[in-house]
Amino acid sequence: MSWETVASGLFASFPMQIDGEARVVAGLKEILAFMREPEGDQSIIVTNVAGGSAVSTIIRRAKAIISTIGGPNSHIVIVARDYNVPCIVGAAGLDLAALAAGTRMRMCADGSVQLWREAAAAPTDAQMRVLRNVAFAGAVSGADGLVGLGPDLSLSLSALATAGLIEIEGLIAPTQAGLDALDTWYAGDRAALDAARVDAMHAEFRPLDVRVKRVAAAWQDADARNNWDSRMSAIEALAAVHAEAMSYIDRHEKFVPRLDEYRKRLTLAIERVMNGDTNYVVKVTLDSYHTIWFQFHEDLLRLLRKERDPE
Amino acid sequence: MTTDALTAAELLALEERQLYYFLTAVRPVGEEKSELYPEPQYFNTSFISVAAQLPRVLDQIIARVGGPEAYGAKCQRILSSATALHLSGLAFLATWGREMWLLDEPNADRRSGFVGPGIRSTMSDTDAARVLRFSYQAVSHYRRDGKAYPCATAALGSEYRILNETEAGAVGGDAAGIDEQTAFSVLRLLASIRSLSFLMEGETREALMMHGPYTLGDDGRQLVIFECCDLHWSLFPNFPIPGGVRWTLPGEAFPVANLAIALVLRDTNVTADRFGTLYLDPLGPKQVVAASLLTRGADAYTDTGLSSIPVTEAKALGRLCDSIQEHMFLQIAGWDLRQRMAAGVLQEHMLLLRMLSAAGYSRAEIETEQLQVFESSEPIIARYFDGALARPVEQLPFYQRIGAFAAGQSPSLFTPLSMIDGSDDKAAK
Repeated sequence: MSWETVASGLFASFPMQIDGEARVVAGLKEILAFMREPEGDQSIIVTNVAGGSAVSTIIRRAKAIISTIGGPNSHIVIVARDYNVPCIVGAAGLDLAALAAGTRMRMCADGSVQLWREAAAAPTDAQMRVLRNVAFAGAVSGADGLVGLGPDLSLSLSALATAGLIEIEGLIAPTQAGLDALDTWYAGDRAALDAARVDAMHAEFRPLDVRVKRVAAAWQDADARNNWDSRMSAIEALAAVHAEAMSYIDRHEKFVPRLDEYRKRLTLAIERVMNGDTNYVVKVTLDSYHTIWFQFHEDLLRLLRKERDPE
Repeated sequence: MTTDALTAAELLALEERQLYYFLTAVRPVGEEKSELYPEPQYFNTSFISVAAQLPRVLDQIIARVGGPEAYGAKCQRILSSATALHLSGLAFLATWGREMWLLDEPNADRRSGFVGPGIRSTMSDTDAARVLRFSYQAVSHYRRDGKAYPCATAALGSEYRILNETEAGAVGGDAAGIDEQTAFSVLRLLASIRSLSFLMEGETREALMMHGPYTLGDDGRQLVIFECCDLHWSLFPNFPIPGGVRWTLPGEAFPVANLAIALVLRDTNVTADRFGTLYLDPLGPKQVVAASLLTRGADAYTDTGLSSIPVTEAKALGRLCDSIQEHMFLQIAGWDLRQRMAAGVLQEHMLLLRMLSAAGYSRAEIETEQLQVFESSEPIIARYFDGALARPVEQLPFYQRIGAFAAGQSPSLFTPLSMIDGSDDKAAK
């Protein structure tokens, strides 16, 4: 949510910052309607005339007045000064037809006119995880390229597109606004970490990462050779490193609570492997252990602002 | 600079230059737009009609007071019914009305003036030159400094003074010191009167005048006087508005027909335009040191001498003024566009009556003259009313022309004057 400058004019009477609700009064009917209303909270009257003959009938009930036309010596300015009412004239950029009654408006002392823009609802954590994974990939050809993001993936993608954080025309890719939103998201997490914690998280992760990559390489080698003993050895090694990965998450989760996501996904993947579905060791189209680990690693690097080690 | 030695052509050029300043600094072209009165369509009709009657009215003024010098001096007082607006307006109306007429009647004979079925009024180029000269000379004897405008090189000057030091000192001395709350009430009264006058005078300043600043002592105090010469509009119900509608005056009238508000100010910057509007910035209760309320009585056309009203009445007068404005606004807001156009056109003619009143014409004479003015204007209004009303501003030839002139796209605005006796315009002097 923020103030957006929509027009600029000449602050010809009592220049100061004024906030209020806009009220377009652009013709006789609207003046008459305004006159019939009980005097309540004063509005900022927005009009398209610079005369004083009719607007002055209601100007004494205005908090301030803005005209899209006029100059420093217009009748509306003369009357506004007399009534001690702040007045901007010549604010040609104001679109009266698009100005809903009650819109929050700000008159700035320099003559600019601002409207309060309600930003779209902030993305949820689930949506931010989707955005994050899209950013990890750079671009994906469809939702099928995104795994491990739960049953509401399509809804999340739609919400992110509406918010302007991703593009879904052709490839799904983050927009610059999306990348900026991610930066903000990471900055929020990073605020809870001091330098020692950052260094510790990075230093402790690096040997785990080396071990997971070795296991993955060993699995792929065993798979290629169709060697069951080597496969079993790789799975045992994966289970061992998984236990240490959980220990890692336990140590740092209180500083970065969302690490719990990886605990759950990695545990689910290892359970599937132990139950015989070995596709969940490295297969890229599944939320396999290796896929999750890759994302875990990428996530930490961005969080900790570290570079990936040379392979 | 005195303008007495200038030829009519030179006066026209001077008027054109002053108009350029006005259009570029005070009233940008295209800004003439009111929610009530179709502007500038009603100007385009009424200015032709009023201009056509200026020679006759001028003759009446001269017959009563003598020349422009005497007339300017006679108006040089608080709450005269003719003010800077009228005296400068003579030149303004003559030149604008003539040009509007010429653009609507491209084959017109400028030496004969306005002609047409039933049109008795005339304003030839010689008449236009005569009105122009009378206007400049009258203003020169109206303004205390003998000049015809506040500034020769810009729209706004530093003052518009009509009183001498003694007169101003007396008014300033009589003004009562007031507290901030009373000052607020006085300024609200001023605001209410000004906005009411804009409403009744068709978004013009024809009943308004401000003059000053007059220096009081050596402590930075300065006097400005705000005036409204008609708060009763007693002749307005006579306006022949289409459909049989008539202005209805409020049940509770303002207690006086005219009012001047004298303000003794401190720490306020003052500038003035040629039509007698002062621009005061800042203007708030803190700037008002003292004030007084002055009037010439309960009849706008009968001068009973200057008297004062207690400044403590300002709050009640302001409230009454607001309720009168609401009463009058609701009337005109209920009329259709054609009726509002007519109201605007007809009120413009009141300028002629106010000038005659300032020359010493009695209420009875003014009432007779009102009939004459409306009778004379009827065929002219009939000729130009519908054509003007039907055209948007960008299609009104005169406004196309001043738009180009103000934008610097056209070096001149007015058609040169062509005298009856040839190129020599001395006859118009």
